[in-house]
Amino acid sequence: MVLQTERFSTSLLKIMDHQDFELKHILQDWAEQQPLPVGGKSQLLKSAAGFKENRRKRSPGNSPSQPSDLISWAMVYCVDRRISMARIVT
Amino acid sequence: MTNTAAIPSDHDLILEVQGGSLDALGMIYDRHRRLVYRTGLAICNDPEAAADLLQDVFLRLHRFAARVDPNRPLEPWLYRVTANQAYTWVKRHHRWTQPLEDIAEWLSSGVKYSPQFISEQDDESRRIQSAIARLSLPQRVVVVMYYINDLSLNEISEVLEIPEGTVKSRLHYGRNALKNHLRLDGAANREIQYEFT
Repeated sequence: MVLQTERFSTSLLKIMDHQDFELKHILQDWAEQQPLPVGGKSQLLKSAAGFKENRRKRSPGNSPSQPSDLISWAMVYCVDRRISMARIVT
Repeated sequence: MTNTAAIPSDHDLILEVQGGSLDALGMIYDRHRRLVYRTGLAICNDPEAAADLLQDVFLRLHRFAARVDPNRPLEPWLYRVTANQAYTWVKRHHRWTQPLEDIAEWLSSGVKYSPQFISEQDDESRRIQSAIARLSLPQRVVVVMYYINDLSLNEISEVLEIPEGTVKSRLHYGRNALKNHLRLDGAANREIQYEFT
């Protein structure tokens, strides 16, 4: 029963010969020796918190960035149009 | 027995992550980071890429938590995302750097590191890592899952969503190549040892 909760498949049977066991032993030892990166958890939680905050800002009824984006676009459009008009006139 | 009851299951933690809990995400990270990092490292052969992949996999879990079924084991999901991300990284990286790496490997193949500079353990670790990296990508993924993660053929087939026959075939060729690279037959091993002493 313990095996069933630890593994995700009912097919646990693995037929291994001597060399298979040797390979498994070599590769698992190698994997165990590899040091895990330091500070990964705090970095993950920081990124996840940032993502959560961005999602909250983008949610309906809470989108303060949209009007300012529109205004910026309109200003750029107007200035650009004036410059091109001025070029045509001159 | 009372201690085990206090430890939240993956099922409970996923439900909490779906509710936005970062503490639960941290607990899942602590529980499964070895699995993800070592799988990523063995496939990518690059510690920095594996560290980035580790972040990416758990950020995806946070981002797409709603799509994860808490009633099913989390490990297959983690293996699948890790393998997919590692696949993408290797293919992108391979395109730009492999010619240079091939030349570097060819140049260094004759180099014998002296024990004064490098410990035997480092040398052995490098030899194993290099042997894994020399497998084709599809073979490498299957070999890593079979030997390092100790999954069965059926489980690998489920995770990678490929037929079990394909898993068997990749494992067969990958195992032979790996044995060859590691020179698991006794004579070759002795030959190498004599060469270094």
